[in-house]
Amino acid sequence: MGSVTRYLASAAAGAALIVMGVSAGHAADEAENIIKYRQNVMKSIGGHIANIAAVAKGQVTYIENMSAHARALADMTKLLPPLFPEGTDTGKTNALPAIWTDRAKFDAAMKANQAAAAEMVDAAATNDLATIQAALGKLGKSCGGCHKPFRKKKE
Amino acid sequence: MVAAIAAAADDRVARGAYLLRGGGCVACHTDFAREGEFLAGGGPIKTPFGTFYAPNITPDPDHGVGAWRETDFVTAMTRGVAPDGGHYYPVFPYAAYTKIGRVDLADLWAYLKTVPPVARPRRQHDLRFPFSMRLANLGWKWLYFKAGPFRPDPGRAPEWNRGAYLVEALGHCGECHTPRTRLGGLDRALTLAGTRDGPEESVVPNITPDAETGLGDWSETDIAWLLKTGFMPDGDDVQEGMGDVVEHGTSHLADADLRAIAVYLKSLPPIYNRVRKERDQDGGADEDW
Repeated sequence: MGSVTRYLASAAAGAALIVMGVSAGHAADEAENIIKYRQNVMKSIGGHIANIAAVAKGQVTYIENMSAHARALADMTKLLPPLFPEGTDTGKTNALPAIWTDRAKFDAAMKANQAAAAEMVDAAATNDLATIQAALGKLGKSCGGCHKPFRKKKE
Repeated sequence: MVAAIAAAADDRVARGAYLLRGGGCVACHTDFAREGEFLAGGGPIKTPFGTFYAPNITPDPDHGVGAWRETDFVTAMTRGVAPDGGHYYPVFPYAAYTKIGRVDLADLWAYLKTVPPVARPRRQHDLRFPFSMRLANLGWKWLYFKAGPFRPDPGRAPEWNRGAYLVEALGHCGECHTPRTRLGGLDRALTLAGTRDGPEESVVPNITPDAETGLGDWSETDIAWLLKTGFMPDGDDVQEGMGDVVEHGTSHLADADLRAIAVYLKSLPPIYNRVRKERDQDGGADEDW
């Protein structure tokens, strides 16, 4: 092999490595951005639940807002399934790898959560505190359907 | 007359069923993760001392408590001694249950006898030496166990005393929320102040009213609400073992009892004891979502 050929070959290899490095960097960035996005969706769900709870607990009296909160959180639960693509299990996330090894169970738990959120919408429309409290209890259990098996423990 | 007696007996069974929820018995003695039958023996409880399996407490004569008399039950609950004379591991929270009143114990027993019997053999504990020696429990008792009923504080309101009874006796909250010494006794100086060495390698939060590291910014309503629904004030659901405690225990309790628990907890001396990691400021995973 001539020195020129050798030079070209190593340059090509170097370029390939750089391209690979850049795309790996892109993938990591992308995963990080998805993780941030889904955490914000989770937080917004938590915010609506906290506000429904504040009414149910009697801390505030905005019962007329229940339906808006319930609809918003029900919409958010529908956004969740595609926010857990493969490769988003590393970095600053509490998602456990079991999500991707037991995806069927994870998807079923998400469906159950969406159903509980839909019941919350119906309950909110009644303006009846006891009905809202009961629906919230069921919704909480459905959150646990994913959080228990698929979320890292708190440290 | 007979009807009245029957009604009274029903009443005792119903009270016993309620107390069983308040005592947190269901979550440990039922293996929900493997769809086990009600009270027929629990799933693994991993601790720094080894892995425990709560036994079958259905009235099956061979594998459960079917052959027990009421005095056997009372002795087990209040003295930590089995019908064969052996000493129980303190993972069975008799150090708290010893404070349960005699009427409540009788009602609990009346209810347990009505549970469908299940012939499921008990699973042996899997423990580290020296905890694997059952006789070691005698030493543990000598060091840490004080038998005797709950004594209400006459200087406090009935609601506070009810809360104290539910937290210290029936609910045995300190069994997880109080850190332990290396020999497995409760570290009384840090009562209810949380630990990083909880069951299942969990971090168990500080539930004293310390503003920085405990429940200082939780209202009584927030505490009662968590116990009823499993939701924390920020809208997140409670985690791990406490999720089971809420689902199978406290969510079944009356609002007045949940409030009494909250009143008692908020009255405790605040203890500064940080067990949770400090949260990231940039909205990372440490923010719990």
